[in-house]
Amino acid sequence: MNKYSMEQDIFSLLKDDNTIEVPEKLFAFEGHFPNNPIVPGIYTLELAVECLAKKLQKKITLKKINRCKFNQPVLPGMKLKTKITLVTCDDNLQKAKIQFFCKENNVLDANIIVEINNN
Amino acid sequence: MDKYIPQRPPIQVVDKIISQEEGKIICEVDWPSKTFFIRKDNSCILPVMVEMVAQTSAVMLGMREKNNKLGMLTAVKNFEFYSSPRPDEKILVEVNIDGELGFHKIVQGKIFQNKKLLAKGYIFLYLSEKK
Repeated sequence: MNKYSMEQDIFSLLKDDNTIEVPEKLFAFEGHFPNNPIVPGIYTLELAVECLAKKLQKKITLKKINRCKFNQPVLPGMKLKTKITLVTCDDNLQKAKIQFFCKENNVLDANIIVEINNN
Repeated sequence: MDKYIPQRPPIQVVDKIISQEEGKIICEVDWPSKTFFIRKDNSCILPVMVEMVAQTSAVMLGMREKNNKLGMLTAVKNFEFYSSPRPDEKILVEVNIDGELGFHKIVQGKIFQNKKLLAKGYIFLYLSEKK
């Protein structure tokens, strides 16, 4: 097992009030990209899933990304507000719309389906 | 891989080109070594499969564009996750260019482990000039 994992990076980004603060240094920046730090899309997607899990206060598993738009790069120093809209829930499958904003700009717009884990 | 894509560890996930032809490529991921994407409870961070498709596409486009351009992920569509990867086996990532409009590319990706389909979907890339 690595000494450091992406999970630790994600927890350091996501605050208790479901806002996101990108520090100047993040383990991911070593590889994305050297001398040109940009938060990877995989991080933004995982943050969307974690924000939803926090809102639902349940463990969830990502099942489908219906549509997700990365409208602008997420950079060191950015503070993002999150907006989560629950759409429908059938048979433990929750549809949700997740948006991230930096000031007034929409950074991420995602429609996803997750499975709510009851165990 | 370093020739074709700008990602480096721990974010670089694609390790080897298995086959390639016009508009299609298959790359290998040495998944047992990618523990960075495993949570404490041993579950996989599933969006890594989107990253696999994005990087495999970037390898293909990097070869085609003679490495002068950088592929930026702009959107994901109809990307379904069927199963988590097993921790002990390599992964194959197959991508095909589904559509192109100038610098915008639509790519279909499929992810397999031991012939089992783990995930599939579409990503959108924008090719920009390398700085």
